[in-house]
Amino acid sequence: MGGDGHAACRYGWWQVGANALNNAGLALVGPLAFWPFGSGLMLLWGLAAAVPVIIHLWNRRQYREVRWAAMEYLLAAVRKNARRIRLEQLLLLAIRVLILLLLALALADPLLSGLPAWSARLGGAARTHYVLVIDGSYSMDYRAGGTSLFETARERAAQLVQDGRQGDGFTLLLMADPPQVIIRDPAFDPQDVLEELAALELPHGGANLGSTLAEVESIVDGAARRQPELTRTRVYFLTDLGATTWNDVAGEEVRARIGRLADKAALTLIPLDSPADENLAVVQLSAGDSLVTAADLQGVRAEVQNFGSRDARGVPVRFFVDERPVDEQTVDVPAGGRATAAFSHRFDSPGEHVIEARLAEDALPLDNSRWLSLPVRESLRVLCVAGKNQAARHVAYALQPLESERPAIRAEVQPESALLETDLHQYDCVFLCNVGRFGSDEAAVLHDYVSSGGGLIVMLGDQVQADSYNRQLGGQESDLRVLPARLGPLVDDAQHALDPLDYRHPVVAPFRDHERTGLLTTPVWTYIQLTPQEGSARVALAFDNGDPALVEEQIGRGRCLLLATAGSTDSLNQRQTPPTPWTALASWPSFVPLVQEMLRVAVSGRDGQRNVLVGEPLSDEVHGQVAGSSLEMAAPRWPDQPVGGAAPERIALEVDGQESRWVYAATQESGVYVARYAGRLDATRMYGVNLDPRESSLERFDAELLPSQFQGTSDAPPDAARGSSPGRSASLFRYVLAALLMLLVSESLLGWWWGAAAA
Amino acid sequence: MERAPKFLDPRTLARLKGLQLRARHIVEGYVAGLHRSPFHGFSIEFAEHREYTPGDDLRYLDWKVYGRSDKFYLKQYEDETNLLCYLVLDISESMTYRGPDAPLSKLEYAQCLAASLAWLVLHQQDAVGLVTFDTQLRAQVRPSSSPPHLQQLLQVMEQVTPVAKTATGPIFHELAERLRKRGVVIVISDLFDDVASMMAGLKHFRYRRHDVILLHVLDPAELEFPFGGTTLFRGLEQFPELLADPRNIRRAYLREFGQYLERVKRGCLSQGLDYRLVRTDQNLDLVLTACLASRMRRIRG
Repeated sequence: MGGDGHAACRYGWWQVGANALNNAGLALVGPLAFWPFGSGLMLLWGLAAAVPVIIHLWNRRQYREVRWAAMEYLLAAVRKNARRIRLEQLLLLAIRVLILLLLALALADPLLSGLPAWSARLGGAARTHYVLVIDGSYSMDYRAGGTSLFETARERAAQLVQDGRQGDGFTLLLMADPPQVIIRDPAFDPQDVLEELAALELPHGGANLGSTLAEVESIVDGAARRQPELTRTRVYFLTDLGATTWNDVAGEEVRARIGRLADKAALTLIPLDSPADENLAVVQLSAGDSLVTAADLQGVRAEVQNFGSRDARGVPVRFFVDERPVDEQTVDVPAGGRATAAFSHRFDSPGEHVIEARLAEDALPLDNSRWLSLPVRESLRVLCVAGKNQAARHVAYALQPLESERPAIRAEVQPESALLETDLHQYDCVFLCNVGRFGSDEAAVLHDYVSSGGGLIVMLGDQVQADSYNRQLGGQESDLRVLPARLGPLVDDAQHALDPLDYRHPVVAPFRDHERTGLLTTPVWTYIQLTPQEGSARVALAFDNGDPALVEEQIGRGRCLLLATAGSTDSLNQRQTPPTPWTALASWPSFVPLVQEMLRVAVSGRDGQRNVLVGEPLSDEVHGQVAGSSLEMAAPRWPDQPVGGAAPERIALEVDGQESRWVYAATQESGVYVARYAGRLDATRMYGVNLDPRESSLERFDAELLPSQFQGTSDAPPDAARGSSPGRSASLFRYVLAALLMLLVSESLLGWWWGAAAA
Repeated sequence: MERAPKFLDPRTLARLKGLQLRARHIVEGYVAGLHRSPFHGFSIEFAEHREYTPGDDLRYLDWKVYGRSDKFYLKQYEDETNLLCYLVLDISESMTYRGPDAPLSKLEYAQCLAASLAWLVLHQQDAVGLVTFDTQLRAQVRPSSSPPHLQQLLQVMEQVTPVAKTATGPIFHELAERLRKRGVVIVISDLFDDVASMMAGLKHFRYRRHDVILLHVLDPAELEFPFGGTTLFRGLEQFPELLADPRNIRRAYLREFGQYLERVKRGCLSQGLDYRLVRTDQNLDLVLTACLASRMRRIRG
């Protein structure tokens, strides 16, 4: 960082001398190159320090002679003051030598960076912009001895603020995902910064290094524009160096960003060490069904991961339903591996329910719990629209095979006029069975219904007019596409069997290893050839000739499934004589489970996205008249009330006709968020917000692999950390010059005082 | 009192050759401003009146008696001899020093001073003698009031060759023994000697009831030490050499020299001696006036 010829240019005429010395004295300057000088070559002028010594010695040889009478008194004076005179001479000589050395030092433009912190303080009037970046990934909650790393980082940052001098500016960032800028414009009152630091809370998400660096760069640039008096910039990263976050350093873009930032500021990394890396976390909590009814026995699975290097045996996993303990399982989790704990539960009542899986306390308590919000219905309401008489009969049977007072599914069969006459939103799913054609009104209603989360299952038949389907529901005439595939010609060349396509799709996945249900032997003689829409449409089931048999696609928040053949045995192929049925599917043993599975998949979007990760927005829609209603969201309050314990916050509803939407983006903490609708809609909904388990890994990034622009990566106290700011004028030039002037004045004063001025 | 600085300025005197010429210039310039001789009645005690007879010196006529009785009476004095003045001149080697800003060496200045005083005394018909010394008595001219006596004095003074150190103590003792007749002893010297020994010698003069006037002749350089740059000081009177930067030792030297002067002054004061510090860049009339004025005060005293 020292001795480059460019920086020497700032000293005009000195440059001439420097160039002359450049050739002759390069070997001499070489060892000085490690020292942080703007122009190390100028140090050669330090050789001039020999001049006072030479003059002193020369003076001893050059003297004049005087005859002297009062010799007795002169000798007495010298005899009594010899030691003092010698001392004064040496001191003056030392000051003169020092003056020339300092002059050479000033010319060499020493940079602040290479000097210890005490000299940085000595650095005088240069004001510094401190950018404090505190790691906000939840691994910073790691606690050793009762204090979390995050609290330690806050204390260290507070210390940096207190150590700052008057006139220094401070900005504060939380390295989260996305990064949170706490103080964007430099604050000059340390008390304000300390208050912000004290109020800082650790979000429960990860950290995005790239976007944090981008924010830091923007803050540094902004401060350089608006506060030019802050001539130096130092960026402090207070982090646990979690590998999940810092592995991004290897990326080209991040490296380039660090390089650019290092040109503008000194980057200092203060690593916060956690003594151990053992950690267990609940990384997954799921229920068997997305839409649960009160009558069902619901299976719940919790996955526990061991992020440490030692096997964990007999780990207790406790399950809570609505904050009441219901079960406890014990699992053995191998080092670096996972184990599953499961239990079954039957909900007594319909409504909003929350399941929690909890581990015993460890050093990182945040990831010991995971929540699952589970709305439980009394039953599912299904509308079966029959295109012709009896067309929906088999489907209705399949949905509600047993007579019961509390059926899990209530199926209603209606003629196709019901599409416009009834409010589809009161149903969880609509089956269209052999409906012939659609008007644009019907198409709009269906699209609206599916988009807002309803399930739609379309079964074809002998009445189907493919053109009308493609036009109205296939998106040919409008944007209101509902169907996941275009309808093609009728195929009735032979008998076809079904191909489950390796049971990949959730609809057919339960059939794996259950060949006796007869799914694969279901005979189909006639079907309409389907061409899946490009995009998210997925083929769940195919015919043995490769044509799609069942296509599924998410439309808005809802789902639509399209079956290529009929859902009843009443559809006949009139092109053959005698007419033959399209398929025997409706009478086959696989029909009931297939319809049930189709229903499950179709309604999975019905209750919206109830479970998200920290940082992902919560959103929901409410159907119906909501005028005069309001929504309040209660976030969790850590650490004692993870289920909606914080003060409720009002959220705006975006009303669009019958639909009201809202979005809540501030999911910074894990736990259960409780939304309460007041007014006409008196309802409560719960949302589970969980940690991204990647941050649970306490693996550390190797500090040795950090880019060279980061300095002070040892665990040294912050004020001993070094930094460089080559881009900013962090020069000590003026201070060395000031010291030089002081010496000059001292030399004159001492010389005068000791009689030198008496000549 | 009018002054004639042109003739009394040491710089002017330095341009004149020969002690006689210099002395005449001084005295002519000085006497031109005098109304009354300071040596008149010098050290003589009044005894009685006697009647005037022709041929008597009219200077001793008592005009007050004439005013009252219309008769001429002369004042009779105890000692018929008017005044004995001994000039004691230091001719040691240290007296040859002349600083960078001084027009005359200390010896030259002392010679001028001695010659002028001798001229003044002789001019009053009084007797003046001369003693030169260094470590021993070098020349001694007995007091006389005859006008040609001045020539002899000047000659002795001009022929001195300063080579040796000063030894004032023994010399003053010896002189006090030799000068048996009471008179005025005027010592002209730089007094670079042991102060205690010197004071003992001077005390001896007082014991012999001499009036002692001490004219301490010093060069301005010795009082101010105005040197700069590394200097090799070659000591006179066999002192060793010293190489030093005068700027470093100036304060120490001045302190040392100041203490010496203080000792001399205090010694003189305690013994009732008339002490005068004389710088060789001073106008001679100032020195003479100051010297004689103090004499006048003593006589009246």
